[in-house]
Amino acid sequence: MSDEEGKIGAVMVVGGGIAGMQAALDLADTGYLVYVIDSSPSIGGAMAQLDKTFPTHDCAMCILSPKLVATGRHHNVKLMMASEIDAIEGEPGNFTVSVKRKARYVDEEKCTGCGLCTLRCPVEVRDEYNQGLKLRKAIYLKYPQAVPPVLTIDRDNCIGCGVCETQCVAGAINFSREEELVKVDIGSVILAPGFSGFDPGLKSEYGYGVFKNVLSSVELERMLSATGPYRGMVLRPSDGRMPKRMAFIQCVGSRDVQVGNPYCSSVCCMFAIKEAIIAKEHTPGLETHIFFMDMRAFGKEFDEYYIRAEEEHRVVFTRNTRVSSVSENPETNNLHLWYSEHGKMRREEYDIVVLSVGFDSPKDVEKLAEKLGIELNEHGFCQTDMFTPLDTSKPGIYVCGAFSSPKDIPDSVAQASGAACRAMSDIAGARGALVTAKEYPPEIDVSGQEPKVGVFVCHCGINIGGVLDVPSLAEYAKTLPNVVHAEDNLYTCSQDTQQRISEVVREKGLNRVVVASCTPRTHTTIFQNTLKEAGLNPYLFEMTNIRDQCSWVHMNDPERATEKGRTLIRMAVAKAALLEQLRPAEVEIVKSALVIGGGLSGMTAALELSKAGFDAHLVEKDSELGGLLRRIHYGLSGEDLQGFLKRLVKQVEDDDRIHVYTNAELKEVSGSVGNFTVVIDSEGEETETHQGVIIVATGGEEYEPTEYLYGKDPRVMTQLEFEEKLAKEGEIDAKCIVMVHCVGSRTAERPYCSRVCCTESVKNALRVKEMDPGIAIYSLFRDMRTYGFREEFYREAAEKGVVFVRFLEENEPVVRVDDQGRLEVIVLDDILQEELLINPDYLVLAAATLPARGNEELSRMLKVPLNSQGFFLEAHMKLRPLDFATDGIFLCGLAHLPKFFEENVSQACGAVSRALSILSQDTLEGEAIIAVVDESKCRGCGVCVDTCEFGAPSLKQLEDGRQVSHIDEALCKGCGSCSVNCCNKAISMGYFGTGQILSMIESCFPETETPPAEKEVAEVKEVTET
Amino acid sequence: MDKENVKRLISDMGAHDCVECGKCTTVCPVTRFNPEFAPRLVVVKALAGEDMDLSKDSDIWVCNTCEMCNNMCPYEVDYSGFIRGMRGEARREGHEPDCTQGGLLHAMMRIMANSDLPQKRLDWIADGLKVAEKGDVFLFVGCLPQMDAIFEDRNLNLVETARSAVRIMNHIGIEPVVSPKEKCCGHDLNWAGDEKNLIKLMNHNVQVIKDSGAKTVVFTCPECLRTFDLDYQDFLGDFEFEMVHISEFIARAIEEGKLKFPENISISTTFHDSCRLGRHLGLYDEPRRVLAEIPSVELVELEKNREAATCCGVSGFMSCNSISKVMQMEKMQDAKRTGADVLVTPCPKCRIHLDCSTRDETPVDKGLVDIPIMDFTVLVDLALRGELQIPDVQDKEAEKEAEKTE
Repeated sequence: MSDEEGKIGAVMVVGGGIAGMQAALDLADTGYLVYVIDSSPSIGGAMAQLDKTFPTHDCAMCILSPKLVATGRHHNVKLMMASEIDAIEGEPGNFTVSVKRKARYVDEEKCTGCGLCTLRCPVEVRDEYNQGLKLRKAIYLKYPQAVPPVLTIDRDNCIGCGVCETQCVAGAINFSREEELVKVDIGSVILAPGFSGFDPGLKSEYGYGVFKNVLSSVELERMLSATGPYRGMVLRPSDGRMPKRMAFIQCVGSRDVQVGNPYCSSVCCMFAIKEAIIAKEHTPGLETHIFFMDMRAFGKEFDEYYIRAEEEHRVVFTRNTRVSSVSENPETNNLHLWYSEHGKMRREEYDIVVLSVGFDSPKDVEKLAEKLGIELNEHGFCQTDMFTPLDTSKPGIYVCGAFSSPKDIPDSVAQASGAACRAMSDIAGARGALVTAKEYPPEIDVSGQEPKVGVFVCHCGINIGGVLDVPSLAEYAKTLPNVVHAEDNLYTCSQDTQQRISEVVREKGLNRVVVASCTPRTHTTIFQNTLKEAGLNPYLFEMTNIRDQCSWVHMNDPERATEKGRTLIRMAVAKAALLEQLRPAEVEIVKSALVIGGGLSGMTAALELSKAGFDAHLVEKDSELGGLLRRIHYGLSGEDLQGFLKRLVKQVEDDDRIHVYTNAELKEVSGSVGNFTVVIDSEGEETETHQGVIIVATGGEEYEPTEYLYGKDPRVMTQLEFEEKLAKEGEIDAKCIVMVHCVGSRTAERPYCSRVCCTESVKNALRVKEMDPGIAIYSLFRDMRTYGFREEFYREAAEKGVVFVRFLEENEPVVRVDDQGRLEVIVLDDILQEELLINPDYLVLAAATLPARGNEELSRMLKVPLNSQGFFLEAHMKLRPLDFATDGIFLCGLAHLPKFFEENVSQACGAVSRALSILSQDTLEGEAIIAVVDESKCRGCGVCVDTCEFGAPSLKQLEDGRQVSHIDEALCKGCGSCSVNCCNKAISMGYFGTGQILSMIESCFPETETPPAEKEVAEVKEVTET
Repeated sequence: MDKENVKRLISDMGAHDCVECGKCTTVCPVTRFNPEFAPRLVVVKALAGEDMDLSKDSDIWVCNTCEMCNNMCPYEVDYSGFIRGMRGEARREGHEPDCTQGGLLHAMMRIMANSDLPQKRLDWIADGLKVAEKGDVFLFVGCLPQMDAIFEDRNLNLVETARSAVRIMNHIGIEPVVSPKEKCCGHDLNWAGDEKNLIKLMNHNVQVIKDSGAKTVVFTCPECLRTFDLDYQDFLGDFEFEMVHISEFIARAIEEGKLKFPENISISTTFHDSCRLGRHLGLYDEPRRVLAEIPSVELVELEKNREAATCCGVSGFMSCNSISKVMQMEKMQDAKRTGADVLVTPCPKCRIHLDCSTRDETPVDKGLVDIPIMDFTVLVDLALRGELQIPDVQDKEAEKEAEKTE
């Protein structure tokens, strides 16, 4: 079970939401056994309830579903649903956890998820997944894509009638199941229990639960979803009409001391913008109106999204406004919003009101904390430290996601990877100890054999068989070309049928298998594994979906549904005959990583790599390590950052596994994942090294303002310069200081928010107040973006007398030197609507954070993209924040976007975790389904090179001078874009070959029974046969 | 290989007359760039009774069937016919040609041949165009609407050719029959050796025309005309209806004084003799007569014109490769060198292939090949309306960029 030191190579992840899944996948991919426990019957967490995600409007389920399937199917992941931790004992690296597993009354091994039981269950109860806007049965699947696809009986509502048991052909129902206590040995724990939504009923002034047309933002989200109560339509609960005017009230349960939530929930601003846009798209003529205090659009491309919402989608924003109350017109059920604008009381009428509910700490988290012995902060979230943002107060237990502070999906995902990295470092020696690879018999080579196709048609209980004439489909299949065997099965996916398929393959010498059943999305792997067990290459398998495509959508027309089933089977068989054996390319992994950038992120990454047992080559462009951190002196709570930096640099320099290159730059990068060849020029000397992965941590730099007399008057300085001054001098001689926010950020040229400067200003203001409370400080801001728990420092600064003055973009402060030589700042206070004139001793500018200067060149060298602002662009803004689309290259820190110290640490650890999933393997199996170039057909047009997102194709010169495309197998993802765009189909895809697809299309259309002009054909026959 | 079949082919195509002079090989455009291929060798091998493995023999597929060889042969050997026959043999042995677009077009044609899938063939008919269900003149539209769908990204607007043809006919008082029942003529399948499906399509199309009561069938596509005139009649004997290319039809109308062109801006054109219209059907003069009749339109001949014209590089949507590209580059450079404003082609497929050749990376400088390409029928229609203008060379780079940003 464990290595020599008694460490156990297993990790328990508490919570199966997006963060928990990401952590589990990283750990499992790196060679650790993972137990995912969740109190819910299925994984997916809060994200599974979302319709779309901001700012890209990706369909949440479409991007989540592959993660669900990957987690559910991973051979190193064990799901423990409807479970909770009862007790934990032991020490880091070796814990024993008692897990209480509630009975779901359905046997997970037997249930096929067909769902027939729910159809006949007589009990209807509130569906929590749809926020009670819909009903579900007492035996239920949480949502259609739920993983594991196993039903659960809700015993609180079940009447015990036993109808489900009579329906279940698989015999999976078991009422006598009882709660059980299971002991699990693990090395580390990751907590990812998420959050719970604030109960908007507690803000009684908004009438939630009293006025029918007041909804929570989560309820609206379910309405917007195609799987929601009204299939994506937004309808007023009072009368089912489509609304015409919708208002969003922000900060319901956030930034609210009264309800005990003084913190900002960080996501609701963007969430509301997204809902306001999507609701308009779903509801013709709808006006949407958002009432908010500060627009906290601090994430990547959030400000741009905010601008688009206002300018393109015509969402109306009313800033600095908290609606005081909502009242209802009892006749129309319309709602009146009362609020003040520029000192005047106003009332507006809406026909639907949405409350943007904030994040509470997860339900019952105190109990969990007590059992685990971890500390919570005053708000019930996990207590963490600036330097170790992923560690709880108890060694060996780590945290990620909303439980450490409210956060959005990409930040949660990045943290999850980071927590995985931390959890691994305790048990690095036990990596791979508990995971086993499945052994299969040697593969039979079928190339050159005549196709012998076996067809298995599934009844899926009565799910398919109740509508389609399944036995006739099997009989029909026997008549198709190349088919040597066909049969129908009650459940083709059941364990015994798997064995039967294996036997039939051997007995009849099948070399192609077709299954006509449910969706390939969930079932392909099961059947492919069966083929492997039977000694066949898994790509000799083809699946066709006669459930979703036939029995579900045409349940009222059995005859034509069966006809369509015949067509689908005919097509699958046509393709199957042309299937070829595919084998993935193997790449050997160089067990070393290149880290570009020696700042906080780069150094953290290098140290974590070393802890995991791998070499790191750290390249720093300056003469010393530290990056931008060299200019930051203290944390928000006064933490000593320069002392920390010194220790960090020493740790890096003392580490044998870390090779530091200073005054260095990359000269050349070639190769691909597993083996990059890198030429580094350091101190004028060139070194060539081989690296398995690359982490980009190039950092950023402070903008040098051209505004507000900067550089012309010594009293004007940036926040970093001011901080340096405070730190060096330890005091400040001034009566009045003015700080201006958003200098160089959120401008036409640089529309993004630099994220850290609001908090940076608050931090320095507090520092000054600590030195001398008598100094007057004016902080001139546009939106105060002190998100999360930083909000409290904003409040503290206000309490200590810092004057916060809001100005609008169009009324920028004017700064000049008056005739007495004093600095003069004139600003229009948006709230007072008065012009203020201040004569400060110092003017401190919160200057933007810019991307590092070398990013463009590096982007070209690594062939990874930048966004329009020059920050590196990740593979997916939501779910792959630390990966590039190109395999084996990762990013973290300011290279991605300006961010805080603790966020950089989390991301650096996260990038390492992503990298370890590659480095931990000896060889990397590439994709089996990849693009292949037929050079004789290639015209060298280069369209494939332009099309590919992953940099796989390039043009190469042949000896005879012709120019043709060449695919790097290690980089190809098999997406098929190049093949689609290749006019000549010189590029074809394995498993989706052009001939295979065309054979399906052609076989789709039945031949006409009586060819036209029959007699002429006869005449012709004579002609041709003579 | 069925030696009996090959023998019959040799005799049908007059291949035994071959004196092995090699003239065919000298003029063959494919041989110039692919020395391994020689029309003479294909025939000579067959004559020698050599046991060819047709499933591996790529020579019969790389031929463009442009009939440069037929045209040159002092003994009138029908090389292209021989090649077509051999392809049929190869197909019987299970060998399929390399088709462009991954064989999508051929698949579409086979689906048309074998099923009665309803087609949207007449969606292109614009306001003001007068067409009929029955009548004396049948306009065979061919696969223009399908090609527009398949080559959607290229913005070729091929159906404009059909619209122009209707407008020209309407101008002289004819309301042509156009039929939604029309199917692919089978040209490409025929040249891919798929006689079985050609026959299915033939029977269907002939019936559709007979049902319309037409006495004259007008074709804008030289391939359709060739297939009807030469291949269909080969099988079914002489038809009662007459078959003409649009250029013949227009030339005749001009002679009869039914068409008069108004003043237009002056345009200098150069004309691409498509192999089907030219060498296969011998129609060289008609399109030139029409162009000469349009005031202010000047014709500058290509260096290689009429019988000597090189082909567009691809025929029957088969065997498109780097050799095709080189041939296309030569054609486009020849056209550019004439100094003409526009290259006129009578064949929609030549237009597709020549357009494709300059879309992406070109092995020669783009400036040497950037001449706009215009369809013959469309040009005549515009001239008739006094709306002739020099089209822009499509800015393909900009188009690609625009596509990306979308």
